[in-house]
Amino acid sequence: MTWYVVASALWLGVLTSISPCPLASNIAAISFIGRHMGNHRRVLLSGVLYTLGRVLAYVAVGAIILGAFQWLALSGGDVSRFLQRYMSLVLGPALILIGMILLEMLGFSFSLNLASQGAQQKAGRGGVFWTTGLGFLFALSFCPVSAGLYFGALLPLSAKHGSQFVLPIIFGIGTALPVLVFAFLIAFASEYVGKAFNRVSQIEKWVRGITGAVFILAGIYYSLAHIYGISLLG
Amino acid sequence: MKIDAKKLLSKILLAFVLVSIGFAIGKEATLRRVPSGGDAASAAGQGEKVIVYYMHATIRCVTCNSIEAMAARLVDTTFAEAKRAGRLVWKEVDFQQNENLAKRYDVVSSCLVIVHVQDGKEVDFKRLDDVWLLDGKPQEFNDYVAGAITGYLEGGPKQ
Repeated sequence: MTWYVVASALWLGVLTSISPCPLASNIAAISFIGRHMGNHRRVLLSGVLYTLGRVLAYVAVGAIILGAFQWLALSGGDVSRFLQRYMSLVLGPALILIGMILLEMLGFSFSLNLASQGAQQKAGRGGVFWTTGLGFLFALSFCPVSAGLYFGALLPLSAKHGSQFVLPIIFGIGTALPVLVFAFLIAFASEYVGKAFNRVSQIEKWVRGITGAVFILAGIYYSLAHIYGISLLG
Repeated sequence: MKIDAKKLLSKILLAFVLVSIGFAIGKEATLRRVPSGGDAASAAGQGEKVIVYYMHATIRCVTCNSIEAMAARLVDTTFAEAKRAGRLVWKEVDFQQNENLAKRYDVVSSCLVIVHVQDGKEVDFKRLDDVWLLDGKPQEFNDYVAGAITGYLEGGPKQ
């Protein structure tokens, strides 16, 4: 395996991330990671954990198709079509619920641990480990471009070079890179603005609110597009 | 009476989530009952033909539309004569609703599949997954797709 192959895997990941189809989930991820403005370590940790979530998803799917689970006789097509068909249906409602948790909108009437008020407050104010789950969910929600580049280009490349883990890991990092760059820029820029106007805690509160709203809007968008078949972007 | 806007919004959003989940389950159940589409070769009729399938997901994306437009333009210009003579057929298929074709060609995402048919029987096919890497590179895209079509039109299978 040459550096050229590794660079190709990274570029395929970046290409996946900068294409228009995962735009709504990328915006949600950017606001989720960037919301810890004022705490550099937290923003960086969120970024690393988000990347880890994406990497885990791509390595797991790659392992199912290329490696340990070959006895299941699942082709890339089977897995790709299953994920594209069902994860896209799950994504919209999941994003709305996450947005509601971030805004602490789910009341006590919900007995699910996930939605308990303590968990909601943790997720809204901190909960960096949620970022791994978010990365995992977003990576598994294949849109046509990410499915085409991952199943159609990355996995054949991995199979050709006998790289069951390294290339999917590099690809996962590539898909997270543009999101991380924007998240860090937004987090540090808002902190700078907050400091300049001496309003860090107020801006933090707004950023948290905006993050929840972005999730809900992205969830409504994905629900309308994938469940109801209403295309909003033409 | 004072209306708590946050509570009201929560209820509306939860109702939307529940209705969406129900709608998704209903839609899936309906799709499973509808038999998926027919056989490629039988649909093509007799003689020697090349079928160019543009396979797309139910949800279209900007890049998918661009790939379809480039491929359709290529077929309508470079292969206009073969298309008029009926030796080349362009078909657009939703691979999420036509599982037979999706499984037959092991379709992973929106792509082009070039099928060589002789006397109503499919003798070979080529799935062009690399179209994703060639969006924005029209010359390379045309060479890649035209190469596969020409190979079959000239009596393929060829690489």
